[in-house]
Amino acid sequence: MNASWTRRRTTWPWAIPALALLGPFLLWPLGAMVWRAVTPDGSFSLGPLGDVVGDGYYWRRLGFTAGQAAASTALSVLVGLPAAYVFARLRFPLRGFLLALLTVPFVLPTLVVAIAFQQLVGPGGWLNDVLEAMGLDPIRPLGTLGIILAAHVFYNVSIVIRLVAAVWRNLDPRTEEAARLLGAGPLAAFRAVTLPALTPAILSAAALVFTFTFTSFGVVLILGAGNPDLDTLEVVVYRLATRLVDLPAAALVSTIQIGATITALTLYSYFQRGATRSLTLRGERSRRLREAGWGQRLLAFLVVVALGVFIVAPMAALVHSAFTVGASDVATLENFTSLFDDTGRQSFIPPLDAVRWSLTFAAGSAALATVVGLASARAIAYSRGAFGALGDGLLMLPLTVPAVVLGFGYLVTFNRDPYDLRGSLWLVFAAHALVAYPFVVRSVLSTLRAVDPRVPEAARMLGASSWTVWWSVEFPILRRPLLAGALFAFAVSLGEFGATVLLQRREFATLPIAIFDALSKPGEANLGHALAMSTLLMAVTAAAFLLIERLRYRDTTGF
Amino acid sequence: MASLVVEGLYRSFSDEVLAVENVSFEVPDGHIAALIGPSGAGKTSVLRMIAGLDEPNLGDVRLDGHSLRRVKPHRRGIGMMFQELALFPHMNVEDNVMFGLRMAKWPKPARRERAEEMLALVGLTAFATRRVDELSGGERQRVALARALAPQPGLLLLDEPLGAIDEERKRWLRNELRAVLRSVQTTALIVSHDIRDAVAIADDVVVMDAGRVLQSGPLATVVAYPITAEAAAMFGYVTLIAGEVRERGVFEQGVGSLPLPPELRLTGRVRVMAHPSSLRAVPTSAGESSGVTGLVSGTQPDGPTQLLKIMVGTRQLLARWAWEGSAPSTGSQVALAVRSDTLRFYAVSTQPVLSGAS
Repeated sequence: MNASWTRRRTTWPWAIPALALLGPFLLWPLGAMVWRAVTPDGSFSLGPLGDVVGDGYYWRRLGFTAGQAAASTALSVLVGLPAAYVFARLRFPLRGFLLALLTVPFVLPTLVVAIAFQQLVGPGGWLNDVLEAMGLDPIRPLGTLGIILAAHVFYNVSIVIRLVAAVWRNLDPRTEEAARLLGAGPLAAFRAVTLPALTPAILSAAALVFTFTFTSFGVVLILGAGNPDLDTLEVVVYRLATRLVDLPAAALVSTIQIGATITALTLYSYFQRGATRSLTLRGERSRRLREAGWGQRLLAFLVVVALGVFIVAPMAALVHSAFTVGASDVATLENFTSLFDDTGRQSFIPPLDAVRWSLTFAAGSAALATVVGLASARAIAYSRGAFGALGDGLLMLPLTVPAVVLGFGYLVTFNRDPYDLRGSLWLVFAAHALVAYPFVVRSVLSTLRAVDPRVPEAARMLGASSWTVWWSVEFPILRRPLLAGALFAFAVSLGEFGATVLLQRREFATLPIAIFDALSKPGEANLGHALAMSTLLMAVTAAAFLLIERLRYRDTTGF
Repeated sequence: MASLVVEGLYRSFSDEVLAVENVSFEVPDGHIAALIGPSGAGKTSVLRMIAGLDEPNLGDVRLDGHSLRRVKPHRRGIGMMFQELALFPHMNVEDNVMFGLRMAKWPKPARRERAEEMLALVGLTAFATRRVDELSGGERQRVALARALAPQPGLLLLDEPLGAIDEERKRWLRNELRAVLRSVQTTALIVSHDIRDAVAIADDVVVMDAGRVLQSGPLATVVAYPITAEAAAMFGYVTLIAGEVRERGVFEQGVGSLPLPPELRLTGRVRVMAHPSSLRAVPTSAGESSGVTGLVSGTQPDGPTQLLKIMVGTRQLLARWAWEGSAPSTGSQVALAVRSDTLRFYAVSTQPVLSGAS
């Protein structure tokens, strides 16, 4: 009852920017798409629904999509748990840096990851070099499920590590020790005491990984290498939408996609609440590596080395290829320098233009996402009850919509007067801002909630007008998370592929589009360009991510 | 410095529930007043209305005779120390203290000088450039005080200034707070649920309960003559008899009786209360016995004497046994001795009546 500074404020105007973005560019297209699915010929009909339901193909694709997502999730948890233990319980040099490194893939564009894996395991890649050196036969994993799962684990293992380690770190190890003294063996103690406490965190991480892999697009498109048995629903939507043959079916599959992701993300929120509830804030209780037992040291070594190799190898392979493809033997800058040389390749997307458009979209949508995200964060932080819950839900919504589905929604919505925006770069801009802004909200919200509402009040009492309160107190407090959110939005926009690929025009193609384009063209020069552009994109997003890591407050709750 | 007048404040949480009801009191220029009462009594609400952070539904606040009704919080010239301190996390100690001066457009050198002065006052000179999250709880408390005092507010409001401090350090901090407030000679209003804060720091006291002011006035008067049984209980008074008036005395079955002073015209149910400091346990046979008896339910050595836990009717109270010889054993009967002029009589009805011992 004391928090009346927030209570007295009318909070709903802060929701206006978000609604202005979400209404026309999310809710309307999604609604239009569902409408499209049930009105194939302008009148209501469940016919196409029946067609899709009756068609074994869609069931098989749904089954495969869910199956590969489940397998990817299980593998990520399996690999992530021991690593979470190591990062939560042991202290060793460069631990923070290593954790940041393992998380870098999270922001890498899907296309870049796919190409990196392609270079690592493809013909003449390092993997086969190693196998050959060991006297084994080379393998051809491209176009198999195995490589897709590997890329998914590469992408998502850091989610498991981070979410689980955050809880594990704060568990009192003495409870497990107490269980040991009461006669439980190490495994029994873990199962009886530690595992139940970690379960909500594990489940929430699993739900998130499942969502991401269920809607996987770029990875499947490239690493699936055209094998139709590996198409996920997202790829199905893409194929249907680009061929423009069966729009109702595409709309229907999209609707299924959204339903599945909303379910998974609702589970995530539910488990996440449980995870934070079980979190008793106590000091970190990790142990120096020197004081640890042999088993723990071995585990730490294995985790750091194996995961390190697993994470770094594809990225290194990409860089290596970018410098060597097309070169006779030694490394060369050829692939990079020729990016800036447009002569004689008029039919392709000029890389320099792609860079320029990527930066334009990224800067513009990051700016928009920052403004909208800040306003929404305030609306959510300062509202309570039903409105607060609704706000949280609205915030999650853009995260639930798969990118290809979003792009497809735009295609079927903004296609007739007076909203004919076909081929307009504003749609790309809107899509990028939409997928990026939740990251700003998340970044700002935790700090906003951690700041005592009496802090601005105190400034008021010291003579600051409400504008001065914002400018000299609230903004400086929010500056770091705001900047981190903006960088995140920037990186997300830079790497956005699924929506852009459906909305782009050659005149304003972005880097991922140019990469995809170059990749689909024959010849080493084109491959070299794709690799060089991927390397640039990876460098920029990874740098942005490392900067974000530095900007995070060490502990937002501990002012 | 300024004088504060609070006039008939009302504030409701909802249509039915009044948080604060007809609250009026005054704090003379340069006085330190304590606003005390149990949690939920409406103390913080009153403080926030004085500060301008909440608006009253009715009533007014005047500072030096000027109504503050239309004055925004940042123009009231009132300093406030929040219970949660609300230090600016992104500024160091010195910048926190200088914030109000910056807002008042003090020139930079003067700001620095004043901040130094304030930090010296609270004993934090060496902490000027520290981050606030590196400080201990007590140090933050002092930064908050220095920050509130720096712009020389006419009135300083302190919301539970010792709330977060452990019991051991409180006693020391109370004295320190009093010394600081005295030295800057500001008018101050301290909200506390702990009567000991008021006793140690304040000149005047305002007693609140359930959204109303029970009593206000100089500390010594209010403590010696609580106007209601509730106020008395807040100051630590205990009930000796809760009984009925019969033949010029108040009688309770199984406890005993106390004579009713002739000038008090009370009838019906009456509570007789006394402060424990004026109570002594004596043998029932002793001539000092007041007529109230109880059963010993436990003893507690206190230096050369004993404190007896005594069940008086259904109430337990503590009284010192300073009699020759060993203390009575548990279960035995003892009498209470009390000076009759320290007894306070309250009618158990809607109308409180002040005892007439003065």
